[in-house]
Amino acid sequence: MSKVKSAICLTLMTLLIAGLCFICFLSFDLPNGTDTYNSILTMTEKDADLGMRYGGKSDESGRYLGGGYTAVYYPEGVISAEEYETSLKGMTDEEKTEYEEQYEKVGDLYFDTDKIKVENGAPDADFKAGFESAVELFTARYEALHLEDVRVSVFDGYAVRVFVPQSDTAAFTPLSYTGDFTVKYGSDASSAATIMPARSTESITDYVKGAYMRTGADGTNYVVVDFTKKGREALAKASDGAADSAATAFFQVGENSALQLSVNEKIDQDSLYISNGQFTEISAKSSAILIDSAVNGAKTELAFTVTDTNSYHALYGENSLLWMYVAFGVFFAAMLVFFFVRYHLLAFAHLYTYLLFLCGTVLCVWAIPFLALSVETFTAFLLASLLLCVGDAVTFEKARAEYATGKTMVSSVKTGYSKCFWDLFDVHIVLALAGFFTFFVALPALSSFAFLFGLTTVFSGLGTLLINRFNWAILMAYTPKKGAFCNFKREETEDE
Amino acid sequence: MNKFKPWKLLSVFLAISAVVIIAGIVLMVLLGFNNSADMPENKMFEVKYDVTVINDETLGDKLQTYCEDVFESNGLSVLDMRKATGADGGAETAAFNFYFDPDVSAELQTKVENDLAAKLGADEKLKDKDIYTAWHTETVQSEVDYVWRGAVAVGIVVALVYVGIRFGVGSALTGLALSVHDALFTLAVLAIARIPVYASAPVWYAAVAAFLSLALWLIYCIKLRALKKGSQTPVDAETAMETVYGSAWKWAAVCLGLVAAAVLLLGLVATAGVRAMALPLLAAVVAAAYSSLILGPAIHVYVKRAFDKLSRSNKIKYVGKEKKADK
Repeated sequence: MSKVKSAICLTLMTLLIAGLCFICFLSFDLPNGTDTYNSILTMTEKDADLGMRYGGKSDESGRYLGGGYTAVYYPEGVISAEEYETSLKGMTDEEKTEYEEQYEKVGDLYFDTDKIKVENGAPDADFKAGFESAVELFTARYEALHLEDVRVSVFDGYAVRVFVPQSDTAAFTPLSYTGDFTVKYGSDASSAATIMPARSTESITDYVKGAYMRTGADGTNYVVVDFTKKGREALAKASDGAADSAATAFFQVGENSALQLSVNEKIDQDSLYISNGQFTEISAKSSAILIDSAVNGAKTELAFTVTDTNSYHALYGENSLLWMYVAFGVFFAAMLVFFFVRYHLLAFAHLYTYLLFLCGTVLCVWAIPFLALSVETFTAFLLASLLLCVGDAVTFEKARAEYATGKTMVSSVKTGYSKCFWDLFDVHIVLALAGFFTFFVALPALSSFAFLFGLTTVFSGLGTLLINRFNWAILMAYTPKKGAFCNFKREETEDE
Repeated sequence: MNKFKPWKLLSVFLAISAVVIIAGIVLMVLLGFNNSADMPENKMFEVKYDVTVINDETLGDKLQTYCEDVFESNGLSVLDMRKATGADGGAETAAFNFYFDPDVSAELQTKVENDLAAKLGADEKLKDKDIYTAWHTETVQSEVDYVWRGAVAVGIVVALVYVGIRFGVGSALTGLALSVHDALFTLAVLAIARIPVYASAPVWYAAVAAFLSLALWLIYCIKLRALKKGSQTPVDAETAMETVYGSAWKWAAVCLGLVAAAVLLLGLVATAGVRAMALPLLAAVVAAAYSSLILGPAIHVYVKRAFDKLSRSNKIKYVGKEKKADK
């Protein structure tokens, strides 16, 4: 490569890397004193364990708060000790006595004895069985969300506490609904006729197979309800005159509305795609899971109320993200020390390659919706970083070995690369295949690890086999002492 | 290092692996993993206050210090502390949630509440503030996502199809055996050593072990392919492995050292939560080290020998048919 071409390429490459580093890593307050320029890394979604989903939403001192939300589902007739004590505070003595007689303490909770039978400090067997079914139901529902870090626990013996990552609170209320699934059809919910009932003589499964969520090509989220032949016929019959007088189909779980569909033409199909235009992925998924579990899941007679919604800070500790950045800093420094000591100025070729790899990864984690910065994805990135470093070091060593035999630098690089090209290619392809195919099957934490491992392995392969060689070529054009530039030495022979 | 020939002791290494994996599976079935990092059963002490009443951050810090003093004086060790904020009937609240082992007695719970009330009563700035305290019990429900377990297998099998095409079916089979072995070995080590892990993490550790195993086995595959290309006549299995073992072993050891260093870095320069997530990855590194440095080369000598034999017998049959045709 000529010196002019090399100078142009080097300048462009330097500007590109500087620009990428600027947008990816630098955050600062703007001169107006009120606004902040946030880097891509700051705006990248963070795992609930590390920080808020959007790093820009840190507190006044700039720390990531992170975490997620919890809510507690109390069965109807059960209240927390806090609610019991708060209620007592505003009562007269007479009201207090009546209230105290009405409620009995069971563990850390208070039970309304008008609604739930309590014997010897414990609820009756029916309540216990109903609660066990409800726990099974809620666990299955939250698991079906396939969200990282979701957690369901039995709280104070007879309440259910759920945890979801930040900003996914849309699931709390719909997933608390219990009862039979019914479909009503009419002009309003109160007067609508039940067209798919839950009777003793027939099950709702005679009408509905289940429900699931789908996202259209335009990004619209749908709840898809699959009907049986009987269900399809029931809906077709009810909506026969919809073209003349519009009505609404009410999909209910217990007394609560799971979905509503405005109908202005006859519906006669096996699967109904329903979107209200405001569905987020989580809200659509929650509605689908609610309907599906009401049809096919565990049954409970208990109704639940959602209270005590709290937001939690980073679960792994408030500075966990900061320490991960420090760990990366140590890794980066160690990498530079090795490359600069062993390969002198040739280390700049690796540095440029690595910075492109780093910025590319940050941009992908930011731009790809299902990726977030987490311990798993950070580990995938670190493993791929090692692969890139080893790959670059292998190419340098191959060229060093060729140079030692007396070849010119250009010939050494060419021969060195040709000797290890297919080996490095195979390693990268195999690992990328393993990562991507694991991603296709796996669920949350493992899938994001696998996908990022596959993606960064591809970046590593491109970096080692293409970009690093290009960087090497443009950097070497200037130096007359190419061996010293790379810290490569000729083999000493006895003749010399 | 060349003097050490692991294929001579294959039965010993297989026995070691079998013992570890079977013991691990038995423990996984009987006891599961040690999920104490997730605090599957815990007692939680909640200290909640209205942030519009206690709006000075130093008072919040003071409250936290009082709580910690009370726990210390009562011999209670806090497993974790999480800060929460919420809206309670319109009032904005903040809370400290302190997590303990589930065996905190009812008497101790009452004593902690009384001691804290006494401390707050003695503080001029906090004594009249409405601070709510309560003990809670929590039992986390287990996660069952069976699809996770098959995912790694699919990824590895697809990658090994490529290995089979590029390096031969024998190499792919050895790679498959090592990946499965390492995933199981890692899970077994976690179960036997009772290493505390988060409930969803073991599958991730197994996946890392399988990926690592695959990457390290490729070093042997590359060396064996280079040897095959460089030699005029077919090299028997034992000689081939003996020739490449020294240099492949060194490369594998260097890569393992780098991965172990990266894991240690991530685990040691970290908060307790990240440490609990990262350090058990060393079990995957141990499994990959054992398989890539010892078990893999040992198994492959026998696999390659079998495939070479098969290949030779196929060639003999083919030559026979050709002669018949000539006549």
